[in-house]
Amino acid sequence: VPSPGDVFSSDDLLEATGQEIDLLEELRDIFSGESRRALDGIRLSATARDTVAVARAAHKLKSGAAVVGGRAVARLASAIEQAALGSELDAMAHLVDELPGAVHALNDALEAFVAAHRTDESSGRETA
Amino acid sequence: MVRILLCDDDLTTRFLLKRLLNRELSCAVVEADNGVAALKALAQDPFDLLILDLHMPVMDGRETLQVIRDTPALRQLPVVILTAEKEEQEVRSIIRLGVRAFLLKPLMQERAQARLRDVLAGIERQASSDGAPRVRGPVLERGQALVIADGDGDFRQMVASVVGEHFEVHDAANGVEALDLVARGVASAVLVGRNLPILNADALAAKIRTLPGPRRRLVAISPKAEVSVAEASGLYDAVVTRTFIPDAFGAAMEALLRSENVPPVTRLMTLVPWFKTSVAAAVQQVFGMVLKMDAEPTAATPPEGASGSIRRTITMGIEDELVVVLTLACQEVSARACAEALSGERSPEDAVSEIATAVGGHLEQSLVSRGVAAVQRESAGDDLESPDETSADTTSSQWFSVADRGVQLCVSMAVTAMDGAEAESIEAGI
Repeated sequence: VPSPGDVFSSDDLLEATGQEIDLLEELRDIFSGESRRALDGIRLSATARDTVAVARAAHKLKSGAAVVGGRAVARLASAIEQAALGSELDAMAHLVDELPGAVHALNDALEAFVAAHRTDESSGRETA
Repeated sequence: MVRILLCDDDLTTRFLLKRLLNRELSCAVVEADNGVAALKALAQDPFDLLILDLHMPVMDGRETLQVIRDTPALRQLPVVILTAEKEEQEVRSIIRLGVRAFLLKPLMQERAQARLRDVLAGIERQASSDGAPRVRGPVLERGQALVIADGDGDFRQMVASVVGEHFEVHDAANGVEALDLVARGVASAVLVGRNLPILNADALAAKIRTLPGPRRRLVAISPKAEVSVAEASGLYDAVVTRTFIPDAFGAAMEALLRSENVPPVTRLMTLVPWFKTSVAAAVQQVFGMVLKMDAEPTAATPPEGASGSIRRTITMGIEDELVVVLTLACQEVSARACAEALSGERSPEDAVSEIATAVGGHLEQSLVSRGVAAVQRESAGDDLESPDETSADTTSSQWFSVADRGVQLCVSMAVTAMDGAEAESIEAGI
C-alpha cells in the first residue's frame, strides 16, 4: 500500500511548477483528462494483448504522473511498461488491474490539494 | 522572438514547458505530439529550436532526429532532448546525431529554465556568428592571380581593395568575362558572386570545372540565405558570406589563405573561433546525458595530481589542415564515480574511454553541423598512462567538476599542423 506521499507528493508537484500556484487548476484538469484516456487505452490494449500499445500508453502515463507528483502511479505505469515490453502478459494484466485505483487516488489527492490552495487563497483575500 | 517547436506526446509536460518558454523566456511555441507532426511543422515554418521527446507514438524522437540530420535544410537545427532516466543506451545513440542539451523528465521548473536559458543564449551567439563570413580553408595561395567576378561594381571595388595586397586581381563584371580570363590562363582562382549576369555563378563554375589543366580554385561569394545552396552544389572549394564590411570580408579571405608561420592554435581559432566553447559544451552534454551529472567548468585550481592517472585522447582532423588532440584526464576516484553512474559493470578506465568516445562523437557532429570539415581519427594514445604532471599544462587546460559526486576532470588541447612538416605542437587552454 503506497504511503500518502507516494500517492501524491506536493513537493514534486511544486518543483515541477516552480511553486506557481495559479497553474495548478489547469494542470489538474489536463492530468485528469490525460490519465483517464491513458487508463482507458491501457485497459483496452491489455485486453487485446497489444503489448506495444500498452507500453506506449503506460510510458505516457508515467511521464504525466511524475509531473504532478504521482510517484505510485508513475512507478506502477513503469512496471506495466516493462511487463508489456517483456511480453509478460500475466504480470501485465495483474498490474493493469491495480491501475484504476491508483489513478483515482492520485486524481483525488490532486483535487484535494488544489482545493486546499483555493481555500487558502480565498481566506487570504478575505483577511486582506 | 525565438520560435520553438515543442514535441512531446505528454500534454502535462508540454503544458509546463510551453508556459515556461512563453512567460519566462519570451519564446513563441508551436506544439506537436509526435515526430511526424514535428517534421510537418518544420517543413512549413522555420524554427530556431526543437525540443524533442524520445518516446512518442508514430515516430519516436530518435527516428525524428535522424530524419532531421539527414535533411539538408534542417541539418543544423538545434535540438534539445527530453529524456527520462534509465534511457542511457538510447541517449548514447542520439548523442551522435547531435543535440544541444537535454532536459530530464519529470521536469523541474528551475533546472529546466536554467538549461533552456543557456541553450537560447547559445542560439543567439550562433546567430550572430552566422552573420560573419563563412569560410573553409585553405584554398588560396598568396600572390595567386585571382578574378573577382560579381555583378555589382561597388562590391568588386571593395573586394579588390581588401584582397589587393595578397593577390594579383582581375575584374569581371559577368560570367563570360570571368570564364575568358580563366580559359586564357590569366587567373587560376575566381571569387564567384551569386549575382553574375550573362553566365550565372553555378554555370560559370561548372564550365570552369570542365576546362583542361590544373584545378582552378573557386570561392562562392554568397548572400547568407544562399550559402547552403552554394555549398550543396559541390562546385566550390569554399563559400564566403557576402558582406560589404571590409574587415569582415578581409578576415574571411585571410582564413582561405594557406598559413605561413601561423601557430596552429591561432589558425584553429581563425577557422573555428568557437572551438573551445564547443568542446566545453560537448563535455557538459555527455556528462549530463550519459552520466546524469552536471559537470560545470571551474576556474578553481584542483589539488596537485588531480589531473590523474587515467587519460584518454580524442584526435580530430580539422579542415584537412590541423590535428587537434584533446586529452581527458582524471583520478581513479573520479573515473570510478563515472563508472558507477553508467549502467552495467565497467572499469574506471573503460568509463573514461566511453566518455571520451561520446565527447569526440558529439564534438564532431557539432562541428560538422556548423559547416566545419571535422573528422575524428583513431587515437593512438588510448593506453593507460602513468601520472605525468610535467606533460600536462594544467594552467592552460579546462577543468570540469561535478560537485555533488566529487568528480574532477581535466580537458587539455594540443593543436598540430596536419602536414607534419613543422610538427609544431602547441598546448592551449580550452
